[in-house]
Amino acid sequence: MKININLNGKDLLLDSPPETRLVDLLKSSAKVQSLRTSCYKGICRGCSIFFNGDLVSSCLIPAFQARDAEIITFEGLKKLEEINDILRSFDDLEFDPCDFCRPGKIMTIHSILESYSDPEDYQILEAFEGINCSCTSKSTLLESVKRSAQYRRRRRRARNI
Amino acid sequence: MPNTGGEEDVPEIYSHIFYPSNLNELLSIKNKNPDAAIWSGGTGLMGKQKSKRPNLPISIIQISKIPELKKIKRTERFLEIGAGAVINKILNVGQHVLPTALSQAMRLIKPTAIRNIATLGGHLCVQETRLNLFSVLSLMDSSLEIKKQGGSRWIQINRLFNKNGEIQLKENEILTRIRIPFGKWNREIFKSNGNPFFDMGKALSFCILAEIEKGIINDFRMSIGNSGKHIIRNIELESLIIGKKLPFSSKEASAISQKHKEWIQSLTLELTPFQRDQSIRFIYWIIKELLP
Repeated sequence: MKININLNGKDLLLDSPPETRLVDLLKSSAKVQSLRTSCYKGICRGCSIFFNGDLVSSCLIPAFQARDAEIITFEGLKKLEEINDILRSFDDLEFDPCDFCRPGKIMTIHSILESYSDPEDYQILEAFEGINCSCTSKSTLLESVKRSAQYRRRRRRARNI
Repeated sequence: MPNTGGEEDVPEIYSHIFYPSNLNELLSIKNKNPDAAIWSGGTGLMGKQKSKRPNLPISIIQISKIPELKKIKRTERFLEIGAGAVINKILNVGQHVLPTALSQAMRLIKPTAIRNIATLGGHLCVQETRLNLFSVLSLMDSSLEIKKQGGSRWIQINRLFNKNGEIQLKENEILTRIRIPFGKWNREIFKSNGNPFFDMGKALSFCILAEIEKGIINDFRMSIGNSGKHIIRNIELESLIIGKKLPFSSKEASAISQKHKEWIQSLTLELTPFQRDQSIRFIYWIIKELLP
């Protein structure tokens, strides 16, 4: 079937069987390289995307469900100015997640910052539930999200002035 | 069934998808295609299949774009939630009005990325197991609106499945709204262990609703969810607790614990040994949680 999507701001017409998982469709037909496939249960979060504004696991979405959807992948997120808040906090803490989980972690941090201006520990840990890569310690993760949130607040204040 | 790949001379059969844009259109499509499966978030069906190309029903009606099914409405006496409302949206919109136990149970649907697509109606209609929200809504005496073209009816949530765990919707009917009465409950607790989808035999949930006034338990309900086809309640034990003054005397506490233990040990078909062990400990937790 033909599936219209808006991927990172560009309209695309993809041809796919309806039951293909969106993660596989984006990787094969749209050549998205940041997506990881591992669990196919929506738990590992390597295939996180923003789907109509919400962070979801794209392995749980069949292609037919993506018709007319707005999708932002890590490639699209990288073009946003706000991403620098997160990358700057990574630099400050010398935090360098592994290649497997880096896109998923940054997407998740961005979704936290969109929901909470000053996230609490439990909100951060709840959002990261399922991402258990050993490349990151819990304390580093909490610190980097909080520091990113500080930068984000500063950016918003500066914009309002 | 849809193709799973394979031999060259076998033609691939793809699912046929309908995309209604409003409720009337949906009811009309369902009337003409009674075998078509309703696709809401699809997290249950997709998450259970490990293959790259999951098996989907031959005919599917995608309901995620129907505004009538996403509405959340509050009146003085109850909260009404559209069956197609996404769990995280319900948590955000209803954060000040959702009953505590329901909100706790929703937050325990993990990870959050799943809550961004899973819907309340989809969660309740999962055939194989009664998931967490079902047991909470059942204790709260919630009711469901079932619609078909040209008619609708309300049923108690406990009537959604029969004794064998089969869904009691006619082929042309769909679940459209969930009505949750605002109860008198002033102590609501929901806890769960494990994921009922992936940890069958281990997953367990407990829900307690209590109305306590001046230290006296006026009403009390509790249920155990075992990732099976039914939720488990012990009305006798509930009656034993109702009317008691808090804190329990040691004699009362031991009588309640003993009654609970005997009941749990009799549930050899419903609970695995692990679940029985966990459930027996549950009563000590209840006694502690009920204290002011």
